[in-house]
Amino acid sequence: MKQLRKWSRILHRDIGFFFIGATLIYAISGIAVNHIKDWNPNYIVTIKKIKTNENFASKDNIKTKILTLLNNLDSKYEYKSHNFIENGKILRIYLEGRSSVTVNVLTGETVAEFMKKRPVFYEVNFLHYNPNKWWTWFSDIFAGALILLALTSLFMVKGKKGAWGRGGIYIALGIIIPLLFLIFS
Amino acid sequence: MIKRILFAFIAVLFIMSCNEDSDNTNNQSDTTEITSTELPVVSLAEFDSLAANYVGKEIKISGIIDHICKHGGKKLLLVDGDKDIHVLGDERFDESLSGSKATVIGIVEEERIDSAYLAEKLKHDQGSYGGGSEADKEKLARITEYINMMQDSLKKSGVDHFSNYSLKFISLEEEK
Repeated sequence: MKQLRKWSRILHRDIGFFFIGATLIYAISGIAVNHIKDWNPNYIVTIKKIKTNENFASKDNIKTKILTLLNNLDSKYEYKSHNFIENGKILRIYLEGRSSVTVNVLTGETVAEFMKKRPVFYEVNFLHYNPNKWWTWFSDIFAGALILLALTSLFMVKGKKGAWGRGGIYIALGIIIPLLFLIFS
Repeated sequence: MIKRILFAFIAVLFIMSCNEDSDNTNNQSDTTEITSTELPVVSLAEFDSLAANYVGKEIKISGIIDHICKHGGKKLLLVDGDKDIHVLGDERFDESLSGSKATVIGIVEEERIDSAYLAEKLKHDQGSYGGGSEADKEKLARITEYINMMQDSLKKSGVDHFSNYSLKFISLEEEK
C-alpha cells in the first residue's frame, strides 16, 4: 500500500504537470462552447446595416461597385468573391476572414457581418474540435491520462482525509450529482 | 563495437537510398508510359441534371465556397448562382477557404430518399424526440410535417425515390 501511495503521488504529480496545458485548453473551450446559445465562442461578430445606392441590378462594373460599397462600410476585410442568389435578388459578397456582406439588390438594404477571431477562445476551440488525426491521438492520450489522474487520486492520501474518509464522501457526491441529472432530465 | 554499429548503419542507409533511387527511376519510367485521362468537368448549373450519370465517379466542379460547416468542419457548401452542392471530407477543411473560388475534385455520391427511407426516419425521430418535453414535441411535429410532405411529393411525382447528390472530397484547388 505504501508503494501504491508513493507511485500514485508520483504519477499524479508528473502527469498532472505534463497535461496542465491540455487541461486548460479543454476547460476554457468547454466553458466557451457550453454557452454557445449565449455567444459566438469563436468570433466577435460586428453587424453593420446601411442602404446603398449602388445599382447591383446591372452587372456592369460589378467589382468596382462592390469595392465602393466596401469602402462605404469601412470594411477592413478584403474582397474575395461574390455570388447572386434568389434569381439575382440577393448579392452575397465574401470577404477575407469569413466576413460577408449581403445586399438586397432591389431595395439596396445591406447587411455586413464582420468576423474577428476571438483571441484565445478561437485557438482553444480549434484544438477542441480535433483539427487532425495527430491531435486526436494526443487528446486520446490526454483522456487516458485524466482517467489515470482520477484513479491515482484514490490512493494518494491515507487516513480520515483519504478515499475511505472524508474523501470518500466527495467521491460519492461527485458521482451522485451527474446521476441525478441523468435520472431527472 | 560502436564503430561497427555505425558502419552497419551507414551501409544500411546507403543500400536503402540505392533502392529508393532505383524505385524512383522505375516510377518515372512507369509514369511516362501512363496516359492521363481527363476528369469530366461539370458545372454546378448542370450538376443536378447530370449527377445520376456520375454516381461513384470522379468529377471536377467549380464554384465559390460559401461556408464550412461549424460542427466538425468536414463539410463545405460550394455555390454558383442559386445552385449548390455539399462536399464532404474526412478531415477538417481550412476555414480560410470560406469565400474562395475553387475547383473541387470528388466522387459523386447519391443518397436515395424513398418511401421506406422516410418511414424509417420518422420511426427513428419518434424515438429520438419522444421525450415528452415541449421542445421535443415541437421538433417532432415539424419533422412529421416535413416527412408527410415528402411522402406526398413522391406520390404526386410518380417516382419511387428522390436523390440527394453530394461530392466526396478528393482534392481542391483554390483560385487566387
